[in-house]
Amino acid sequence: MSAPKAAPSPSGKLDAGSTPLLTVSGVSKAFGGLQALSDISLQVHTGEIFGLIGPNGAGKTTLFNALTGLYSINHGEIRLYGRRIDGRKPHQVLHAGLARTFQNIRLFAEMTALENVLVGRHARTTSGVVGAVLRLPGTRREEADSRERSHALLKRVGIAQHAHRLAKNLPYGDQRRLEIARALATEPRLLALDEPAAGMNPAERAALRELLLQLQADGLTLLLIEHDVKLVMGLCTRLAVLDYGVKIAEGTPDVVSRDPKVIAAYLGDETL
Amino acid sequence: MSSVLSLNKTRSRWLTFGLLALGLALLPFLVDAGLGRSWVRLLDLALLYVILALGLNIVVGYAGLLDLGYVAFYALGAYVYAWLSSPHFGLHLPFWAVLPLGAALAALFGVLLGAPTLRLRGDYLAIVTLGFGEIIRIFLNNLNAPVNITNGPQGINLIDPVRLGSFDLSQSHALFGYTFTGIHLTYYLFLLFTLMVIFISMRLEDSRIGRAWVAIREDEIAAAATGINTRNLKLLAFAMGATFGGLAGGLFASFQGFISPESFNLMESIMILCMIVLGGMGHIPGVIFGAVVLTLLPEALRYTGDWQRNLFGQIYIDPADLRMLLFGVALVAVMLYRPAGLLPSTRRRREFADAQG
Amino acid sequence: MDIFLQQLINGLVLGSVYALVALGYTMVYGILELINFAHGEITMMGAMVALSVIGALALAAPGLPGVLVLGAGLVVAIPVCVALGLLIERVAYRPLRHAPRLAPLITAIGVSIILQNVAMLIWGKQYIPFPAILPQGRHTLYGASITDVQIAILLLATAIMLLLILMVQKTRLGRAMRATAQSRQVASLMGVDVNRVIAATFAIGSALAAVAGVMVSAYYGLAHYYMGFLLGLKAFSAAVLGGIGNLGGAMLGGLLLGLIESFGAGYIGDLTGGFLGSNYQDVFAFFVLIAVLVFRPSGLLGARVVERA
Repeated sequence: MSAPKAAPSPSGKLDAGSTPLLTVSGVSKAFGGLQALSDISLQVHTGEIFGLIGPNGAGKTTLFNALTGLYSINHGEIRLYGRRIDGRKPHQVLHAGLARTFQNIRLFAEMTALENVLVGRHARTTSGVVGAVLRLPGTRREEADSRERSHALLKRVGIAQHAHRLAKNLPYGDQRRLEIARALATEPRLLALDEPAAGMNPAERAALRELLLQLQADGLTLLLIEHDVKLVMGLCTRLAVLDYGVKIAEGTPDVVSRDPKVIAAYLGDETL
Repeated sequence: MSSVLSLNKTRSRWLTFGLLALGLALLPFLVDAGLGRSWVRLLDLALLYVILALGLNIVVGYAGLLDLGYVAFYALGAYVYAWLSSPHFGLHLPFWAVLPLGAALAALFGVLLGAPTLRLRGDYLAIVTLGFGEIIRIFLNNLNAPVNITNGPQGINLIDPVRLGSFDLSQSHALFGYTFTGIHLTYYLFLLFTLMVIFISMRLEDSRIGRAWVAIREDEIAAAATGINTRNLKLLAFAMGATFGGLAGGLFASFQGFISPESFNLMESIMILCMIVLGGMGHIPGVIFGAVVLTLLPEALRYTGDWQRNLFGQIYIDPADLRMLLFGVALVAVMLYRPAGLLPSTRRRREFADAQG
Repeated sequence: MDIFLQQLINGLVLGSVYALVALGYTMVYGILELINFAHGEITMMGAMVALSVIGALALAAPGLPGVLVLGAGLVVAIPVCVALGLLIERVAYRPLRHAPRLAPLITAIGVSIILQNVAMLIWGKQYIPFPAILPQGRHTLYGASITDVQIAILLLATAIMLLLILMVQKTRLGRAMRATAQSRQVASLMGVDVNRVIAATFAIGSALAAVAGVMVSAYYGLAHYYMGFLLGLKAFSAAVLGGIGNLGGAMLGGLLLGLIESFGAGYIGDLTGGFLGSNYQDVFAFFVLIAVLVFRPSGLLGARVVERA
């Protein structure tokens, strides 16, 4: 029941009264004897870019999987806009407004880029078999709208020229961007990105940074796992640091980077 | 400029369409004149298998669920038709009532069988569906006592042909000055249903539902994380596939006039699987191609008997026995050398055009 | 009581054969996560080859003792099956190790159809009787009877399984197999020649299948080109029941399935008031399979599979 470090750091961008968008309280997850997450609590507020960092194996991706319904948790609760999302199925979590990308890109390889984004529209559209077969007016409108939005999203992440290429044939960096476009197509309130810059060259990283800042400016809240410390420090409003499944620090980048526990955790790890 | 181009395009499209329609309409007469009546019968069967293959294609090709018990739905449709339209129970309901009923019942069974098994990983699902198929066959074989439901291995005989009012589709009729035999008329009936199934498949493929199926096939976890209710959509795929299977079963029963469990064994499931693998999983023209080729294959293989006789003076291998062997070789060879099937998908072509333009 | 004992004996004998075949499925699955669909057909091939040799020998040298003739049949059948297993692995599975999951499964079905039809072309469609070379002794045990063949099957199967456990636990190859089953990648990093281990797995599984095939044909007194299909399915069900990938599980599952079938067939008439008879014997394996997969996919002895994302 110890919250190691209270987060008293409403940085300039955040007003004190902002609603917590995501509330994680006391979440634990064990695999057999391995405690992957122990009593994790944190809050992500509307409009911020919240970073999740920590050495390899610290439990960041496990936390992501728990948040998005891929893992069931053993203890604690997770709320999005005050509504419980733990114990829900992945598609229900997405419906509630939490979309994600994967560390090891998981696109639909044999579908085109456009189709990948169109799949993202699935959750926000409703037409069924009858509508599809008869091409009812409602379905046609919906389909046209989905296509328009999807093209716009491809353009927005900068890969409009690849719309009709199979996802598996896109360059690596573009695959990451396509995953973001697919997640955006689901109209999330909170977008969780698992190492979006991994494998990108400096130019691609810069473009990604721009994109994320734009998304934030448009009112989207971001949760970010990232190893690129420069990117994290420059981008995030606040950070939480995980080590061996425990949250060892939380706060603004400034505060966190000076935390002795964090420095100890990263000792010998060249990334900090 | 572009409007003229698109006008030309529409016109050529209509032209192709018209030629295709004409060809399909004349096909049974051309085949009858060129190859003989038994080939027209084969043509009818080929259409039936196109329906079956497109049904299985939804489950295996789109949703990526390897269903080895598909023939169970085919059997169900056939038996429902036989029960409601033969002297077996003394019922003679009209085909337009029985056919949808069989298809609907098959769909219901698809959901019932699918619900407990769809959590399973792909290869387990294959085995379980195979088990279901075998269970159904064993029951069909043995449910003749103490209450005679299926008439056991003897099967059900004297099933009513399709009748529209007093128009019996199995008889010859003189229309527009031509004589249409039963197998010719059946061809047009089957063609109608086949076109319907092709149409539904095409519309579904390019829709929200079809994309969700393919997404599940490609990466189930990513699909779920992208908001797809994977369980419901897999059940929907099962139900859609089963519907087509049930429909084909009813048509088969009316066409043959006789059904027995023998027609619905595992090898039938595997042959339908072969059709879609050979043609190209998830690719409608490929699946149609596969279904037609594999239906006609046994007839074509008959010639190997003649070759054998000419070459060696006697027949060493019964051509009928060669069929399954070739299926096996085809399954392995296609998976090893052309996993996308013999007819490459338009998507590949689209990509190619994209790269050029 | 004697009916009960009789079903127990029949079930154990049948079950020990299932166990031998199930071991082949479980070993391959443990290492490759592949259902080797063709395994049942290898069992059939073992039976067919052995029967041909036995038939020829019995004709050529009628005086030879039955056990020797049977031994000769096994000596030929085992290498043939091992070669077949290795060939299948090399041609149909290895090239697809990194292909989508559906691909090797489909080639496996293809291979199994090929083997069936090749066998049909060689040996014909008719049932082949097992030559009467074995002792036909029958012993009475508390009102139940047990034949010499049944005793021999039980003893031989037990001996083979003990040997296999010893091999997997104590030898270098066994250790390499266990390591590869844990993680192919790590094992290869540790210097294990993964391809050789996989080949060895197929070889051992095929050898067991050959023996099981001979046992089955001796037990029922006949062989048939289609016998591998149902036998394979049942053995696979047994492997799943015990927990696929687990050697002890395959043995337990095999025995249990044999017992379930034997008791099920013996009592189903009474249980359903005569509605269903022993002609439903083959259904039990499928119901067991489906029930296990739905309610406890990890099987009796398998560890719960950790959810993976």
